[in-house]
Amino acid sequence: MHRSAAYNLLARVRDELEAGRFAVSIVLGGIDQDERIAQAAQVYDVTSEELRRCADNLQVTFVLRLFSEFEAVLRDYWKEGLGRSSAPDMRPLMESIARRRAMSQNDLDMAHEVRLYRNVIIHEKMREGGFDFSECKQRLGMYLRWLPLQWGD
Amino acid sequence: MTQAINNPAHWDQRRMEWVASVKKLVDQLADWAAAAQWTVERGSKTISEKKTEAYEVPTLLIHIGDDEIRVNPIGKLLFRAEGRVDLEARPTLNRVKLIADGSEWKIITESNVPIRSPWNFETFVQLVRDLLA
Repeated sequence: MHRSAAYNLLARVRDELEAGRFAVSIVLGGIDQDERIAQAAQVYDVTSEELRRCADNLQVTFVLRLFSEFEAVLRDYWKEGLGRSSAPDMRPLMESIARRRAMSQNDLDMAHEVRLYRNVIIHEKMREGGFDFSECKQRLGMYLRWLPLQWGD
Repeated sequence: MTQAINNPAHWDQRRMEWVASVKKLVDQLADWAAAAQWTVERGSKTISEKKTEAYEVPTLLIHIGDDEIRVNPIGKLLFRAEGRVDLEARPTLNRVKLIADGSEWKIITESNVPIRSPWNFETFVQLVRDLLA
């Protein structure tokens, strides 16, 4: 994998979040005013309340997707770049790669905070008060800069 | 008016104007990057849009030390825009959109907030630094 391909994976999640925000905002904006949107929502059994919840949770949903792409990149590097066959948990995986790549402690810590936030979202159902998506992608991007330009075949 | 919109020649003309304005922008950014002592790599990409054949536009990769700014044309036929080129930073993945506005470019953040600064060398250099910060 090329490091640029890893960045492309994260950038795609960012673009999909933007597409999702656009789509939800158009439908939410029109559901009470546009008869066609209201009828379509009825056909699909989607309520305004569900759409509002979808809009509210869109960002944290995409933080989970972003982190999952980040994890996939690290696991690919672990296997294809470092030739390791083990499957460590995310924290030791991030630590181990950071040590091997002589990563700055600051960039590692910032990425760990996103990992912890991801855990909070999953286990404590937290929906507010954490990092926004933009902050998460920036921090994970800074971690990826320490990977080599290319690894594997 | 309707006849003009349905006429393929109308869209071909708009496409040619758009490609010319992207080329002008890319040349301008390459000059500004050189003036800031950053290195550039030129490239190209193919864009497919409705109402017109696929076409090629220039792209630019600006190297600032180990960091990069990617100049990525998105398209001409966009909702609420007369054409868009993205400036995307790596490793931060921060991005702004340059929206064509006549012969000018408007800078729009990812939150769709406009940056009301004139489009010039100083703005560009500051923008690059902010995108990488």
